[in-house]
Amino acid sequence: MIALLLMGFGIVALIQIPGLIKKQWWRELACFTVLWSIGLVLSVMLAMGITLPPVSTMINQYISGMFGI
Amino acid sequence: MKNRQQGKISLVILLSIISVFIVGCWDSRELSTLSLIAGLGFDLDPATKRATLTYQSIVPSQVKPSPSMGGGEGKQTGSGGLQSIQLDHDTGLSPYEVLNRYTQHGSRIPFYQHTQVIVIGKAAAEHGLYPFLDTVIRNPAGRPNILLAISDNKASDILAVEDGMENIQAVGMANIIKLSARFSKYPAVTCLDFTSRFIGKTTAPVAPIMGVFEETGPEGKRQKKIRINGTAVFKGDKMIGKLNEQESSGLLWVINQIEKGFVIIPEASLEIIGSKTKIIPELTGGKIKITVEIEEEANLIQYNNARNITPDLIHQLEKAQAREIESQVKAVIKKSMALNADIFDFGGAVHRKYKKEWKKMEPRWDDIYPTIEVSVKVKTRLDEIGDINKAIMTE
Amino acid sequence: MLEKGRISSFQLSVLLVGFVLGSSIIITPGGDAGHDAWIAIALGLMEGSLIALIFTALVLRFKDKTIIEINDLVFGKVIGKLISVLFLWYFLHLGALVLNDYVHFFRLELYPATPRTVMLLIIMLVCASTVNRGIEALARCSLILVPLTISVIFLVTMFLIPHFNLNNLMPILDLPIGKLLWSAHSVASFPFAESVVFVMILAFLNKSEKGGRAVSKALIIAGLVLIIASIRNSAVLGPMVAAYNYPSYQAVQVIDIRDIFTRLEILVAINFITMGFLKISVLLYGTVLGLAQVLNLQSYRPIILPVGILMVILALTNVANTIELFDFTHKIYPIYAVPFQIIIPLITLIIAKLRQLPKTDGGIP
Repeated sequence: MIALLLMGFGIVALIQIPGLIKKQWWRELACFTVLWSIGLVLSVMLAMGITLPPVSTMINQYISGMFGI
Repeated sequence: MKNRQQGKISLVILLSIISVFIVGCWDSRELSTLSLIAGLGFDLDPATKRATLTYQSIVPSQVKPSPSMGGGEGKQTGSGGLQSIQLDHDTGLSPYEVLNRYTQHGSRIPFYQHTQVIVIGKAAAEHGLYPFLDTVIRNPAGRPNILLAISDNKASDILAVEDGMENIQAVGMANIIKLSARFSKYPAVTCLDFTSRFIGKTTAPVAPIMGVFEETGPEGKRQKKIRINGTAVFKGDKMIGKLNEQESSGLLWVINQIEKGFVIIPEASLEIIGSKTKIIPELTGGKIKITVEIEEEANLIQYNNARNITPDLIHQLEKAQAREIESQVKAVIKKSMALNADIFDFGGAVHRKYKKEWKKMEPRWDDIYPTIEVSVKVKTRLDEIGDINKAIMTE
Repeated sequence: MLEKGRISSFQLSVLLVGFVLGSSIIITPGGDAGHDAWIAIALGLMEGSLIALIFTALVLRFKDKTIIEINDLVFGKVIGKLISVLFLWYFLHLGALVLNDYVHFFRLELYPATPRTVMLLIIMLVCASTVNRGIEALARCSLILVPLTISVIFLVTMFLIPHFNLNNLMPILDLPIGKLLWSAHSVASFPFAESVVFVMILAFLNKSEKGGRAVSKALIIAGLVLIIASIRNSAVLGPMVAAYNYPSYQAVQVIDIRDIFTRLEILVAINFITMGFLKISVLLYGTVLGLAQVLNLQSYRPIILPVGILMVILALTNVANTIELFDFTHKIYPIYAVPFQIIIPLITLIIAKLRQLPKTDGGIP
């Protein structure tokens, strides 16, 4: 599962990075890498069975508390 | 140039990866692994509260293009020979426990997308349908327009009868129900109709009742056949009574579901061409009065006396016909008042007209309903007199 | 300028119709109003049009600037960027919610065994490749898909006319007024005012003076389609309309014309696939373009895939089950969306007016 995931992320990186280096878009490369790594970390966590916080449910609870619904 | 080639290569790689995923292999269902359920029966043993499901499944390889009447006698379960249906029973405490158990001996997955009719045993209907109904409408595999029928005995008996022109008996059953509704004898009730009445709180659901009867066939053999013999009246999810033939027709007159059919009066038979019913509630001083206005048009298709038809006679026939319709309607209203079940959606009619007052009436509808004064107004019109304009024999 | 493509006001209208139809094609908005849903939709359309008036006025005031650049101009670099990030979060989250609707619907009705990740990745791949081709390609997609969808809706409605029972729509205005207004507001916030994401797209109109009319026309057309669908569902399903999760899908299952035209519900699913695709693409486009502008990138294309992946991850973790999703969209979303849809654009517009922005000489490129 994780191997498949890494492969997928590898393909994404392979598609994007060479072009960015060629054009010397370092800023773009940095942004891409940051977003890419966030995605990678989160999905590896998901694949390992770590439950990430359900965002909408949290917003739901917060707003419910705020308005007393 | 090189870039384009690279693009092409990556495109090919991408396409071949995607093609693995998007063909939907996960959800492929081959015909050879499915048991197409044509009819589903639900029974409940009132003593033990055990549910029994009866599946009438189609064996696709053995559905023949034309029906052979009397070809395979005793075409019961597992008797070999050419048979297009196969019956399976299972017993458990809830519908899904039964289904669970089915997997212990069934070789194929039940597939409900082609279910024509759901038959509910009388005991189950009297005991309460809610758990079963919930399964039927909650499960995405069920469709809202599956027909519902109540068996006057056990559902499994009805599904076991081999009868009719269709080689899949459940299809035949569905057609019997539809035909009887087209000729305005008994209502055809789909799951959607049933649950809509159910969710409406004050309106009582109805469903046709089917029974098995035996008759002597052309070769002197006893044959089992099925027919509709009444309309079940529910209160909540429990069956509380039964309308007979006349009352069932009356029900259809009131709820404006008359399509075709015949009105038989002593001296003549008339074919219904069209009919329209209006339910007009009136609230005066806390009392509800409901007027049922029926406007009907018919053609003469049989006249018993050897007399020429005159305008006066037409007038008489119209009146006699109105009396007949009125008597049917009055019979069903009397029955429904006695059962205290609002099968006509009078509550809905009151709601539509008096939405403010309705809020107070809705919780007390059970007390109000039997006290409603209903008057029936029937207007009939006799239009065509058929292909002949004089009696072919004179007295 | 990150986006070199330009679209005509007609293309914008069609794209906006597709966007609004998006997931509301399957989750008929105003469902909690029962058979009065069509009134709620009509009222919601009015509120939504007012909201649309705010943000179109704001964006068209600045001609060819997106909301991100406008925020920078109006609030200054720091606060402007902060507000822009709020918007980006809203777009990303909304995209994830639409993906959720997608997955929940298809896993329930059509593909119970397909893993949700696979389903999400496939749709995201299609959307990403569309966004990669720019706003013009997206708009041209909508020119094909939206008329197709609307004609399918009309077709199935025609087929359903024999099953109509107009008594089911009576009595009109059965609901207490407060409940109806809440329902109307939730309709405004669910499909109509979500068009606030077009603050990223209105800038690319070739004739910006026509933008206001294009937006209002599109909202009215989409509103009419939704009203027709809602009346159809109520008339066919009766009181059950409020009980079903996906009333359109159930209503179309009722179609049975002489055993020939049956099982047409797949058309509803196809409609949802195409319109949902447009909606997700527009949201992904808004997020990616906005992020590129916030980060001062030279192109938004390199970050499409990573942002798409983030959207998928958000969709996967967003809610724990369907009922939480419905609870969120029915009860909380109408409140949650108010700042993004009304308050921030309104404040921005007021400040822009007070500061008399943009300066007439054009100013910052």
